[in-house]
Amino acid sequence: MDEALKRKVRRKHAPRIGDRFCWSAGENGLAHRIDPASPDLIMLANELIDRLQRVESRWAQVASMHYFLGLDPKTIAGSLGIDVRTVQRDLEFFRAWLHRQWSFRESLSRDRATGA
Amino acid sequence: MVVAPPPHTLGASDEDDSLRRIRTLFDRASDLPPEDRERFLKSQCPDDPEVVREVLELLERATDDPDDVAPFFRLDPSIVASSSRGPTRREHRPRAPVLQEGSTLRGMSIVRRIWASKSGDVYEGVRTATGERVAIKLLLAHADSDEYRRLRIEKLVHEQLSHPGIVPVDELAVADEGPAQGMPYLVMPYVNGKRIDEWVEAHEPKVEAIVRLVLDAAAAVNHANIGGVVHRDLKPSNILVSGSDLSLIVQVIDFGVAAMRQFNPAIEESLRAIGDDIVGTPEYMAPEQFSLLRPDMRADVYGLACTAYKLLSGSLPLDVEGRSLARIAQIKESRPPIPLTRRVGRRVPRLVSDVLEVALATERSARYENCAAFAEDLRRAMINQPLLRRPPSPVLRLALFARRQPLIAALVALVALAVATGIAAAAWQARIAAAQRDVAEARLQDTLRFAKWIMDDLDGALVDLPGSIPVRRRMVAEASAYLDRLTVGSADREDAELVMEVADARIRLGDTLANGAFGALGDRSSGLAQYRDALTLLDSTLPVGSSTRGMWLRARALEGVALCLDVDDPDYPGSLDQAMALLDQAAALEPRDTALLADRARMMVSHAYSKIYPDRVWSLALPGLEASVREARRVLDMDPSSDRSRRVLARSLRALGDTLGRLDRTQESVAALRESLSLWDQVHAVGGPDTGRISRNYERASTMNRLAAVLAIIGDRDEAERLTGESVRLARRGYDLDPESHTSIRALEVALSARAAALAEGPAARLRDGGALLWNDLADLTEARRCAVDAQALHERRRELGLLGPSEDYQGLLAGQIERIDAMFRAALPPGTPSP
Repeated sequence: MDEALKRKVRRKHAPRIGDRFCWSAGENGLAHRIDPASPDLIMLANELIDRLQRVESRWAQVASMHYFLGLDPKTIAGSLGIDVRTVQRDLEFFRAWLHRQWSFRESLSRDRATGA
Repeated sequence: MVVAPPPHTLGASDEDDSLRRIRTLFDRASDLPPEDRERFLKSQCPDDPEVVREVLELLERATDDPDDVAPFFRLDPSIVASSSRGPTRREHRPRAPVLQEGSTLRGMSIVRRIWASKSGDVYEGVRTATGERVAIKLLLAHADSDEYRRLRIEKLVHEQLSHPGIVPVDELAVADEGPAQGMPYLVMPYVNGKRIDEWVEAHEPKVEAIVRLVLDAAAAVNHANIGGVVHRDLKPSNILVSGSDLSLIVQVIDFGVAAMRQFNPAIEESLRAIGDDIVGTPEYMAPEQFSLLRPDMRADVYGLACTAYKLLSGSLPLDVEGRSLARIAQIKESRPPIPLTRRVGRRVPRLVSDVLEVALATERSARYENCAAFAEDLRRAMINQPLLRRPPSPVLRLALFARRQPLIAALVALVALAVATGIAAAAWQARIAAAQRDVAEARLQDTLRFAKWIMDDLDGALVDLPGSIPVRRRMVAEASAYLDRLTVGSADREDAELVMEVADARIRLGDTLANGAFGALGDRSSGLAQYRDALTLLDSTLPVGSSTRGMWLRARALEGVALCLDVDDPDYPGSLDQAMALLDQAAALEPRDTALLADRARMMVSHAYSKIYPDRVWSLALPGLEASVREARRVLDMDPSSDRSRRVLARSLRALGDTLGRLDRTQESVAALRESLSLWDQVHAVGGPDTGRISRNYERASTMNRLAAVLAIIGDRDEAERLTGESVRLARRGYDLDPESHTSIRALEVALSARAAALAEGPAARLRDGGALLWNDLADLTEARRCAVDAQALHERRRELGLLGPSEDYQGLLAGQIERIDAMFRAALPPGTPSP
């Protein structure tokens, strides 16, 4: 998606997507640092899951089931026949990785905007 | 300045190795105390400080609040419940209070509105003479309504009751002035308390404290029962808790749907006037309340036990939230409650779970006869005494004895040990079997919940996520895979209901992938797999003809299969024939089911079109299409308020009009298409002009295109041009919203092509008549060519994205359209003039 289109989508759908995606508004969390209505984070998560898929399909499956189906770790563990702790570890890593990648992209686009 | 990129954001296949390494280090370092992590990482990667830095950063971020990125879509029973009940997901705007703060009502001053619903408001007020705080329940209804009769029952009931656990009613009157004039209201003392579930949530009390609250409520209900009153609607919101932690007061409210056990002429009269409606809250109602049996005290035992269960576990004894009334009734009548200990483990004493199991028995004869007996056993359960209602098993008796007399029990146990060894093996086997049954039951519930989520929520979720085909595909694929895993253990239960729910979910997934109007991903092979899975599931479990819904689902799956096939595939007409025969059979069994009949009328169109092939004789579709219109009209007459029936008729008319146009029966075609368009306008008006539902715009645009094509042929070119202009505008709106959706691209492509045809028709007619083209004609042709070229580009884009369906390659037709326009230019312009 080009930037102009993204902006348009964001503008048109901001309240709906924000409502739908259950963003938390934690003081110190990621939520306050990013545009809560942005579909970009979802696209980024999708891209990262694709990358995980190439390396270890279970990692991708756990992240996908949690973020795209909203299943909790216990249900995911039951469904995949693995330990809950394993699921939690997979999710911890994915979330941390998503944060890091998001920060990187944000700084990149900020620098582009300022011409640095 | 740009910060250093994470190593695996750039580069190629090395990224995968790097990611695996980072993940391995992350896992190993996570197991260490934070202060040792850096040293460990440096020892593992002495030459790679970048990796050390990255892993440390990931570890640091991993310790942040784990909920700061919530799942993008949530499988949540409350969402499922709200979606199946209509507009609750969208917060509906609160209605303005009838009585404003500070206004007065018969000597009472209004302080605030406490609560509002569709039928009325509850206000806090103060009696100006005495300063007493009161609650005023005001009805937005007249004194001859059922709601008023219920208020009257409440007042009459309270005249017979006096108990500290029951909030009394002071007066029932009708407002004689002010904004509430003519509205009935009930006045009662104000209770400064909370609903019992909210209180429990806020205070997180121990199990004993919750049971004490339930015992207090049971005493109040028992008092009402003894007075001949059955509450019939016991649930958390009708039990209030007030006072301090030291002296809590539990009070039961809302006797508006109460029934009398003894004859009371005034109440009987009100009850007769209301009629035999099912009253109460389905989730908390006893099974017999659904069958209109006159409820007795055991219905209140059930309602109270249900409330206790919810307070202790956070769930209902059966997973019925969000289901239809009929389905709840069916579940309650056919399934026993899930034991409380299975929900919450050992947090709640086993005996309490046993008491609730008795109180929630499906057969009321197996329940406690009244709330006093229920309360007595609850008390016994809390002090580990054997229960009265259901004698515990010998093993349980021994366990209880052991708890009271541990020393003697230990001696007895030593003697019994040898004998018990043999029995233990058998018991262990039984326990394993029970555990497997529990797992299967939990899986069954998950499957049903998830299948329902797919049906109610997935499509909505996709519609709200524009511009992201890969994400949509991921969601659908993940949903399908999860459903596969769930059904592995559940399908062999041969539970017909489950099989049908899962099959329905698979058909919806197929629609989302391949055949749905909006949100369809254009992935026909995956869609076909879903439809075939649904068919296999139905065929392997449900005998053909065993139920109407089974036949209906089979028909939908067969239709889905057919629509994914090429029109020249021999299975294409055969599948639709089978589907139609099944729906005919189902419709004969359920001649009043308008949803089924509407779907049959809709499918008659697909069936009629299948007759055109393989020789492409359009007239063969005509009888079927005419029958479809007749049937759709009949269904709409049966239920004129149904939007679905209106849409089905609009589609049938469009198909008929289009076919008539192709057969040169232009006048009839125009009439059918105009009627179709008018129906779409009605649907459009109902849904509001800008609801964001592209599908509705697409349907209108599609009808306009066809009408314009026929109008252009009969010479009404201005109208044709206007219609295609409007159709392009509608399609472009959808495309702007979601330029990656298969439907959006196709809608715009078709609209542009239709506009090109309409614009070119005028100049073409002039040339056919031997005339010369005017300047206006040249302008129209230029515009027509631009539209045709855009349509061709969109068609090519669909091909690149792999979204072209079978028999959908119109590249030749679109190229021919451009060629015809160019030929007209060549005829009109002097030789050598450059192409436009």
